[in-house]
Amino acid sequence: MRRMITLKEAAVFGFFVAVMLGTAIFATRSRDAMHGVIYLSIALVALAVLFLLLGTTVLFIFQLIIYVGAVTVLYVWGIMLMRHEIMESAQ
Amino acid sequence: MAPDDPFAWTFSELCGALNDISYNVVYGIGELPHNLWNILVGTFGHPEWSLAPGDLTFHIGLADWLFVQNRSVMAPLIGATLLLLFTLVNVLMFIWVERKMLARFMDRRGPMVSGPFGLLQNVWDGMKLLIKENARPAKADMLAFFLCPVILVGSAFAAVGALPLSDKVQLVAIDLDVLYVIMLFAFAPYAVFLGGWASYNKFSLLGGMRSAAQMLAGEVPFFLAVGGVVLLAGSYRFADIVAWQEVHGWMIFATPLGAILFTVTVLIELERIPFDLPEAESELVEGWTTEYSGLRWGMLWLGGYMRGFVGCAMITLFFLGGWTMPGYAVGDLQVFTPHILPPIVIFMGKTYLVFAFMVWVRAAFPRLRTDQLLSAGWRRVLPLTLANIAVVGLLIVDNQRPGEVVDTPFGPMLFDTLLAWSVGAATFFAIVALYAMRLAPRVLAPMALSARMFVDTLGWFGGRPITVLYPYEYLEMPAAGRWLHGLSDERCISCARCCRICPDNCLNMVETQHGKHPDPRFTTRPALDANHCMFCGLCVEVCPTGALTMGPNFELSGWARDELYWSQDELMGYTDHAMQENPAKAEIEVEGWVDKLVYPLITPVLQFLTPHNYERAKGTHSDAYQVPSMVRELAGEVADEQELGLMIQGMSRRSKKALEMLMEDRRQKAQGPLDFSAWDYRHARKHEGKGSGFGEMAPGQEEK
Repeated sequence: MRRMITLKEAAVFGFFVAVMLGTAIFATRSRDAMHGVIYLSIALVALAVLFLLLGTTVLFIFQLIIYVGAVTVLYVWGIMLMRHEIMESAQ
Repeated sequence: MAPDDPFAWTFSELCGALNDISYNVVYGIGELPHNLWNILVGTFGHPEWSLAPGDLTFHIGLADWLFVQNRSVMAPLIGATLLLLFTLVNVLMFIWVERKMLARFMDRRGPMVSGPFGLLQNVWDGMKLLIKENARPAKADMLAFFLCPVILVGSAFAAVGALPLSDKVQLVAIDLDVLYVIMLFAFAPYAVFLGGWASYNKFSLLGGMRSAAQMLAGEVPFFLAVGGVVLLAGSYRFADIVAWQEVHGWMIFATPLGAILFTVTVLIELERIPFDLPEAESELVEGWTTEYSGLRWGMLWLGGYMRGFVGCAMITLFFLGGWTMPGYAVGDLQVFTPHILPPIVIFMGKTYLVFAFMVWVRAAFPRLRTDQLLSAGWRRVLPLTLANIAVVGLLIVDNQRPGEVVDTPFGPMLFDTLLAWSVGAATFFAIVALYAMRLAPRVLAPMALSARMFVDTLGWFGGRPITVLYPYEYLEMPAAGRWLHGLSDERCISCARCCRICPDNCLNMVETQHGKHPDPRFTTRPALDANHCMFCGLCVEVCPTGALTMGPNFELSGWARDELYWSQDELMGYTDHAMQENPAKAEIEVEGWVDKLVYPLITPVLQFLTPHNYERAKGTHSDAYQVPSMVRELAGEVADEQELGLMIQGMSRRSKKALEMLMEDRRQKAQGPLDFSAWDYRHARKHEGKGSGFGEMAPGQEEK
């Protein structure tokens, strides 16, 4: 049964949408690869929270396990294996 | 409405009640000026000036706004605050348990000065971290450097919030809370990588890389090791898993292999010894936390121990029955133990026991190498977890008679309980036998060694701590020791050879005040300025009568230089020596009542288990400290020197030296008992009587 969402719910949802979109933009615009990954992970967490607000707990948890727990960790690992000077020259 | 019995409240009801109390408090504070005004005007006899509620008051409506309008926000916030306090206290207690237990394993005493049993030590350490400089490396990436502790502590506390501490206390009661906690538990590598990378330090980076490899090797079997439990209980909720164990008995008996593997993978994930490669302090300074200092470092520790709490709580919930007492129930029949304690107490007790086991592991095992750890994680633990899941799957497929009660030698049991226990035991022994057939030297020998290490460290745990609490306790000094000087009034002939030989000019002949030598010509005695004595011992060697000696008294300290000037009378023990005063003994637990209670109980057991350790741990670790009593006893009782010489043959070199000195002393005197009086001014103080002395005052002694 559908119901009207309250203003409070809409505000919370909108907040996380804003966080997700903002950090996603930051992730694409940042010059430092590691900062990009950090912003990306925040965006993914915000997306997971959106899933939670929409009532899909399973999607929420698997989003966090797979994307935040595994994918970004592998990104960070890969960046750690690179030389620091590469990123400095890019700046 | 909350029930009458406060202990029957759920956590949310408790938070609601606290919400109401907070409302009353804040409302009362908001109404305070209003009421004060009414009291004032009533006192002055003008009640018509008093303000009615709703009139011109200072009531700002904060309480209404916070606790009534936003009740759905404030009650969880109150709950989170309570849980945070609970967690912080437990983290402090975890650190205390670790420090105290580890100290006892190492024959030390651990924290003991601040608070009873040193319980407040971690509080003061936390305050120290608060006021330390929060240094940042110049080339650090501050975003990632800042985010690392935040992610670590945040994910750990979120995991604590989803843990059920009892059947009524769970802040985040979602379905799939097992997955949720495990997922948050697996966030830590992200923080570790960020911190290791952002510090711009080779040690940090190496620690982060090691951590990466280790976490990947540990995380996969960590997730799979939970699989057996979840399959058996048929649910991803902690409450269901505990309920299954309440009916069927503890999961550790149903899947012993799973319990062992899960504990190992939790240790890997927690980066605790023997898997603390990322923080290997002997190779990498402090691992990936090298560049962190001050409160940030404290946050890393806080996050680490919070994760430790989560890990121990998960082991408790999965394998040790959670908040239920040991035993199982068949229908209405409660076998073994009913609930006699509050569930949360049972749960926390089990969690602390699990953590104590982890400390024991830390004391027992050395750190692994990286290749050993990776090989163990990928090639041993991972296949074993898969085998565990396969066996549990077979168990479930074969379970055709659920709920049926079977008579066994141990009493009536549910059929699936019996099946689970027997298949679990069979699995364990089968795998042990499989390995034993092919890999006995590589598997069984290390297993035996591991068991030996556990028992050995337990022996150290029970021994009396080697720490000597100077100045409340004293080591027995070797008889051959030569530290501070002593002077025998009876033997000194005032020849002043000691003063002439002294290379530092720290001995002066001074007229004695209290001497009792019968010949008035012999009344000057050497006074020692210990400020620049180098304890070469030349003065003792040249003394023709053996009056000047150097003995086992080693306490040479004072608040002022004057106190290090030992006058002739002080050397002879006639006047007291003004040393610095000891702090009050009550401040320090020398041997607490727990020790007095525990040692008589545990010592015989440990003496039987580990006699070799016990012999060393029971007090005297070096023969240097055994010499004096033995030598004094020998020299006092054994008259025949030949017999004594035979006994000397079996003694150590140091003992022989000490004994030779004593025998030489005996030969010189050739009569009377040994005179130790000059060796220790404490004994010498017993001499009484005042001499006829009047002489020059020593420097620094004018006041007396």
